[in-house]
Amino acid sequence: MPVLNFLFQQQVLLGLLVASCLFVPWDQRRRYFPLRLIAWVLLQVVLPRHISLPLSWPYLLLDTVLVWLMVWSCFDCSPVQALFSTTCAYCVQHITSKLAYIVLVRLSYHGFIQQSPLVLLLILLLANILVCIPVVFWFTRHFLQESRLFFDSISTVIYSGLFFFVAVYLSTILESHLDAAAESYLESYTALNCFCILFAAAILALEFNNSSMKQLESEKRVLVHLLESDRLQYEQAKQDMEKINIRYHDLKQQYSRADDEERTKLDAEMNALNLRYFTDNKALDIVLTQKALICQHAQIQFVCSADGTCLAGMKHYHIYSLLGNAIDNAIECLSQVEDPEKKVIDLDIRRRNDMAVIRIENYTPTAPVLQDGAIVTTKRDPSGHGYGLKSIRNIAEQYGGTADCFVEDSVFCLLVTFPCAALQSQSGENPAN
Amino acid sequence: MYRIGIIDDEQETREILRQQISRFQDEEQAEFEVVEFRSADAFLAHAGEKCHILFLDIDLPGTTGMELAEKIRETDNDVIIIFCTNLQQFAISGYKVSALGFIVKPIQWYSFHMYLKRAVQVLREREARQQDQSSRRIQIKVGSLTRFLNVADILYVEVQLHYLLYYYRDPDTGKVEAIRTRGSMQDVADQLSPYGFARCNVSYLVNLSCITAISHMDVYLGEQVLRIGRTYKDTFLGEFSRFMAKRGL
Repeated sequence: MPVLNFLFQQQVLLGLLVASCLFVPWDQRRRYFPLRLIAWVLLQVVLPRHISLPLSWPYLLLDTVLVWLMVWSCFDCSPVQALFSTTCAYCVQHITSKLAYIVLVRLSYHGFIQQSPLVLLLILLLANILVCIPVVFWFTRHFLQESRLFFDSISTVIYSGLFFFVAVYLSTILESHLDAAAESYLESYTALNCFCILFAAAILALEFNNSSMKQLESEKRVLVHLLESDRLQYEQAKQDMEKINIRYHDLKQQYSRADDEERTKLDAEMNALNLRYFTDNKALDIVLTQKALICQHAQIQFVCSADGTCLAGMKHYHIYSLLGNAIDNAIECLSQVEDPEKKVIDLDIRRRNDMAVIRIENYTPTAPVLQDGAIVTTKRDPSGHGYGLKSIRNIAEQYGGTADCFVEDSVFCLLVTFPCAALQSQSGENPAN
Repeated sequence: MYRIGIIDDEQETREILRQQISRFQDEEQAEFEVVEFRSADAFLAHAGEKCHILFLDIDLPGTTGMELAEKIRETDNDVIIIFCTNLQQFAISGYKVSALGFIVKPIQWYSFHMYLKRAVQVLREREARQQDQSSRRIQIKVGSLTRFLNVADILYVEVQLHYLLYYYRDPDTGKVEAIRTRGSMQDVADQLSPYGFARCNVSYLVNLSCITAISHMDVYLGEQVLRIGRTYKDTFLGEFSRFMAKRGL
């Protein structure tokens, strides 16, 4: 029984620890994590007993601060993120606790059960299961998968944390002033606790909406960064292509003056340089030539039919980035395929009606999992991957176009369309920029 | 039975193609008649005997495969062209002649099977359309009149309360008229979805084959612009992409 009594006394702390598990960045644990955790839990058990405070709210504040410090100390995250985790954990603990007490009070009021630590702990356990599963499913699962919380909105975290703290304090005052002997006690008690549950749920939703918005902004920053790096790569590739063209031109000159023996040598070099594409679009030529070489090394057939003129209005580095990402995705997929017959990339770029249509197809052994418009990578380190398709869609949408992919008969197909009118309206600007 | 033309100057390639066509016949229960030509000129000399599918070598001596394809396309838009090529770069201008696909030599079963299967699908769909013209017409009641509309000429259908507006392009005059009749969007969507219609909005059902351009916000049917509804966007764009990917066949 002492164990049950101890657990009963520490129900808030226990609830908080369970709820915290849903919101902490597990892959950012600090060194000596278990030791830190044990030390902080012990501190939270022992410290409040040895401090004598005149009012109840400083105890509440102390609990909150201790949980916040525990998260910050155990995980390598910002203090704001620790505050976010603490507030969310408090919300979940509050919801489960209020839910459990509503059930307990109503059942005992009608004489169905006797109030005891064991009964309460069992109901609390049930309430935790009922609340935590939906919270994980709707809110935190995505963040746990991403393994990083993009969160830096200080004012929202502080305000929501503060409001919640005050609401909890006010609700405890209200609850302590309810007359247990009054006829309306049961209704008042239930109404007050329902209000607390709703408020906690609202704060939780606010916190997550705020952080997911931040995630979108962060995603946008990544896409801009990737596009910028593609732009630099394009500049480099352009220079390389010019060197290849000059070398090819020189070889042709030498060829006309060379004897048979020299011509055999020159043939070999010219063939190696001859994997070049001419589509009436410089950026397209560069990206196709570059990727065709990579395909050749990877023993992948790269079959491409392309009308470069229909992409004339696009900025060159957008073409380079879009096609580069699309072909890279296909190469990555085919590099896992063993059957050499199936290592084929089929790219088709043409005008249809008033649209420029890009279609790229490749065999895929397994259908990729798509989530929020990105292919969920199967690689061990997910950071930095899965942005290819998002980047393609981002570029397509800049020109008012669409990008979509699907798998049919083990063939992955990516289809990008641009309205020609939108491309032409941008062709007034210098596309090379 | 479909007639396949092989135009290649290499005996070995023609032989491989014949073997693979034979394997395809066994595996896919299709029937083919195969004719071989050593050059573009030999093919042109027999131009009266129409083929359904052509396996065409790009690097032919004399008139090249690409030149031959351009010549063929001047009079025939139906024949399905699958190029066979020694060098993958030769495929680059295949869009000019609406080629169905390219096979890089030496011919491998996977690519061959994929493209021939697609070609047969296209031919079967065309046949189904031609044989079953009557089923591609729908019947609607306009007041006391009953009208028959060819589904290919319906640009889109709009719902206004309990009425449907069929925007129909007259195949003779090219003029678009709106035909009003009673009905619900759900019923017309069920009726027309098998013909390649999709909802872009709560009020509009669009004929995907009439779309001239599309942006992430709007659908363009020539001059007409329809908004894409947020809840319909993913499904609509998905159906549009699949339709476009197949249309190249």
